[in-house]
Amino acid sequence: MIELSLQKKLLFDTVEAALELVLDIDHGSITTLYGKSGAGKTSLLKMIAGLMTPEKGNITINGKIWYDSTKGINLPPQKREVGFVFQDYALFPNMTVKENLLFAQDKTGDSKRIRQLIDIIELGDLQHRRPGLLSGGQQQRVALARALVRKPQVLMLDEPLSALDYDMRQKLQQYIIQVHREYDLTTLLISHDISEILKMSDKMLIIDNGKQIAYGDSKEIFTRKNISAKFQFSGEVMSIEKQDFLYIVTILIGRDLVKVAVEGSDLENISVGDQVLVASKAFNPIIRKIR
Amino acid sequence: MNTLSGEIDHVTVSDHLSLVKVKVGSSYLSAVVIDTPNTADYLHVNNQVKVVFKETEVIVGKGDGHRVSVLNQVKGTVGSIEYGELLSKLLLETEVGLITVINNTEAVKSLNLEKGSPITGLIKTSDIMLSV
Repeated sequence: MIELSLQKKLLFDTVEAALELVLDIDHGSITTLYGKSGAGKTSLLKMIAGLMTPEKGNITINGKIWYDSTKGINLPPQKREVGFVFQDYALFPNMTVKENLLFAQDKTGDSKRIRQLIDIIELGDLQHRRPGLLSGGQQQRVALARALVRKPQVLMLDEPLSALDYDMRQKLQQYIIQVHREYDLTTLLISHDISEILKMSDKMLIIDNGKQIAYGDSKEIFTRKNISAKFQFSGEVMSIEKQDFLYIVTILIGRDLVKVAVEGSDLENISVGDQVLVASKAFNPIIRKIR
Repeated sequence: MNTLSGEIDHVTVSDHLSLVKVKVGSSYLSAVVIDTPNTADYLHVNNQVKVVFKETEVIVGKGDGHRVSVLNQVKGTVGSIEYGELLSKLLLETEVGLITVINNTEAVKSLNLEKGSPITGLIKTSDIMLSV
């Protein structure tokens, strides 16, 4: 369990404001941090990892105090059991995959752990190659394995998959869920991809300007039970074209492009790039067997 | 889309489906939904709901007394008409409130409507969503 209460002045979009968060995160859960860029998501992860010091508050992980401003406790990053994966893999280019993993290990580390990680994340065929010869997805798998070498209790993923294509993302999501379960981790994920959030996380925390906007079951937050439409998806607006009194809105849902015809007033606060809910009555769609 | 506020007047349940009759303005609109009071807690008499349907799902009939298999038939008059090449937009002033309609220009023209013409707006129960 992660118990935290944090206060720190930060710059949000050129305006200085205080990040103030009080949270209890269940042990063994995957929690997504969701919000605009500059909302304080990465700062929160950095404070848990010890890479940024809050002004006030406390962080307790599974009963152990990592930070407490009143008691003067502030464990250095290397003493905090966290694994961090960023969008940028940051592997050592002059070392092979296995050497990268070995380098991340502390002196007491056992080689069994690395063998096991190579197994689970299926790096066997790649372990003697250098990062330069690997694809983005393969490098990110190595970065994931490296984050787990030191047996962290908390795995932190800062948009780890946003640079990868759809298929590679699906695979990496599977690996992350697998290691999360295998090593009984508490995982914090920063993601903007709603399908990824629904697939991966148990809970989500929405933050804006350093403050909690919502915290709860991610499916309940995203799937609207308050409308009787049974045909619901979330997607990203790709284009909007005017056609007589209607606008044809093209929306990317998963890997499919769909078109929805709506009246102008429905688009008042919607523009290209927005995430939207697409809903229809269950009576309208037809289905056809394709296989 | 058209969004009208109303109050649930009656809920008829059959297995997984409910026919929900909602009092809107001085009349009623009914919606069939794949929910029951057990699966959706808003489905109770006297609850406030929004009745939601798209502009393209409203059929306009001239006058009233249409013998067609559409349960929702709301009476009113034409507030305005704008003609486009393929589609036209009508604003209807009805007993459930203002309704925007987008229909084929050819079909609208065939009715010879003008501002103030008495009309009936017809909406199938399966085209209406309820929201809270």
